[in-house]
Amino acid sequence: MKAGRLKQYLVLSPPLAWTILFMFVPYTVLLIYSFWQTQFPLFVPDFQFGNYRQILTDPQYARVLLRTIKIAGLVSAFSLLLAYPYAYFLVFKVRRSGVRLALYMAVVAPLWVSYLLRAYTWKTILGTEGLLNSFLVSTGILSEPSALFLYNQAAMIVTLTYVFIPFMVMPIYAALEKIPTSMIEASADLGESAFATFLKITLPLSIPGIVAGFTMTFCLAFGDFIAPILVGGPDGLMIANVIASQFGAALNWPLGSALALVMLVIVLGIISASDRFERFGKARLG
Amino acid sequence: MAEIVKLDRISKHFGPIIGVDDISLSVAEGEFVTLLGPSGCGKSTLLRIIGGFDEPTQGAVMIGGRDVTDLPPSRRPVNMVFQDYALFPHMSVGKNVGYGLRVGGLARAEVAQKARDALDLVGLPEKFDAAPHELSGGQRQRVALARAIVRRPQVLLLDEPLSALDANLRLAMQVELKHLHQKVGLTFIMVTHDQNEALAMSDRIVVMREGRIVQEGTPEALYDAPDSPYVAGFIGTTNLFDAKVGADQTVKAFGQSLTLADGIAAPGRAMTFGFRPEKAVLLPASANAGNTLRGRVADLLYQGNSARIIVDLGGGQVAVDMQISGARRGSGVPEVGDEVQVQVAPDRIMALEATKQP
Repeated sequence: MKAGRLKQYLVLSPPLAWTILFMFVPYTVLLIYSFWQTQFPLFVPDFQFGNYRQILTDPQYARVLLRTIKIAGLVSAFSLLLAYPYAYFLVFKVRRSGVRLALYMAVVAPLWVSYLLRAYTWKTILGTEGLLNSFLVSTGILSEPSALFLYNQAAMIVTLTYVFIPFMVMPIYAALEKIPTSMIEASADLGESAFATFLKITLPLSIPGIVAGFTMTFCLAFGDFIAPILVGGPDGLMIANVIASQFGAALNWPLGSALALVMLVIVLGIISASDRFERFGKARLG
Repeated sequence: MAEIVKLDRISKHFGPIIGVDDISLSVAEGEFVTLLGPSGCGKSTLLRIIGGFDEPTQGAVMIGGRDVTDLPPSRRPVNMVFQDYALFPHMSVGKNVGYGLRVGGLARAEVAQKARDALDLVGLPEKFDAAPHELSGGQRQRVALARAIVRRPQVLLLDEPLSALDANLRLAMQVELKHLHQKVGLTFIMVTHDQNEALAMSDRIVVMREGRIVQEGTPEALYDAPDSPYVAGFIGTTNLFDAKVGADQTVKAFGQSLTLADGIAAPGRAMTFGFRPEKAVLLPASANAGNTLRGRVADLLYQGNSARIIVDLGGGQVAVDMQISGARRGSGVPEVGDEVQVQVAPDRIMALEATKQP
């Protein structure tokens, strides 16, 4: 009995130590810092809500937060619009399993390539010397390269959609693959057209995958700070950039900590809502 | 009776593999036809071709006198009960059963009423609002049935409908399916690999093998007069032996001699013969009787009301069934090692098919 206990602790202790050291301790430090005061260039220990008050009252933070939510939302929406038809095509239209695997890997494989590199690629595509411009100029659509494609929110959305779309494809693919063929055949057997079958059977049964994919892409895009730096313009700052600057140039760790915790709460809220939805769905689907 | 389904020279190839090989079949209105065979014999493919889920490579499917070969499942007057039931998990039982009715443009109240009637018919009126995952296997099976019959299809297709149920439930559902067939008067075409199921329920059994029909007929005809060792072995158990018919209607069986009934095989022909375990009689070694094979009990499988006795005849083993009416002791059941005689009346021996001459 005692030896068994000991073994349990031994097995559990590395992940436990990891969690405490790299999750619990840093977040606690952040939480403590978020109540401190800044007396430039020093941080003074304190317990006051001035940093949170500043976040709520200063409209520039609300603006960045809303912009971040908007961009993350658009990235998730575009990912969904692209990923769903693709996953549907893979699961239901590609008959040969080898081809299906190859097409699936074509989406997933870029995850093995450095994120930075993938984001940077879009700089070379959208830039004035980039692929898009040389194509448009060489075909005569544009007389000279345009600077319009890069350094704005659209470029960020394109880049982030490209970078995070595998996280949308994977859960949707898994959800669609789980739907038994007989269910779709049963709907056809009972007189429904292919389109009605999609709306009444396939789509509802794949919602758990959509929710999981949306949650992942949204949270990943929400916390991103590379795309704004690489392809975003002056109006493209996201919340993570603001937090980074508080810990860097602005040298206001207490405010940065408070912002980080606000962001954490938002992300946790989204994840727990999605989790609750999934559990509700599971209970219903059995 | 009017012909409702007609399959005209149907073939189905999957690449180089032939799933269904030139099958023609006619099913009469109200008939309960079973396609029977081992897995891979093409029976499910044939059913799916009737339902419209697989397209035949060649041939035509007629339902109710209409050529439906090119119609999708949604436009065929047939409904299918799927092996896994395929109930929609995100809909209540009532919604599942009514699913096919909304297509027809019926009013909501009318759909609900018809769904309730169908659930009544399968004995589940109280489950209208339940979710499929709250039901037992047998109940799901009934819901799948209700959903398929509620549209009053001209033909009901059943793909191994009872295979997912446990043994006791399967027996009960056999009875229910048969009653349902009589009650609704629809044409049933069922696929199964279970010979007992086929024997118990069907008006007609179509035995298939490697994409072809090997024999079709009533359960009685197939059981009593199989025309090949394959059918004899697939439907029930048969003791088979190859022999050349002697001049006096005798054959060598397992190294011993048996007399055949007159006229079942011409003298001089080499054929496969067989007899059923329950149609042979086990006698003590001392009994004085004709047409017997002598041997020793090699094994005994006790089954409660009967026992299957494996007798070693020297030239092979045969199975003989013996009814046990009273207690096992003293009811004449031999022990392993006992000397016995197996009596096979001449009219119990079936001539199955000519063996290939060497």
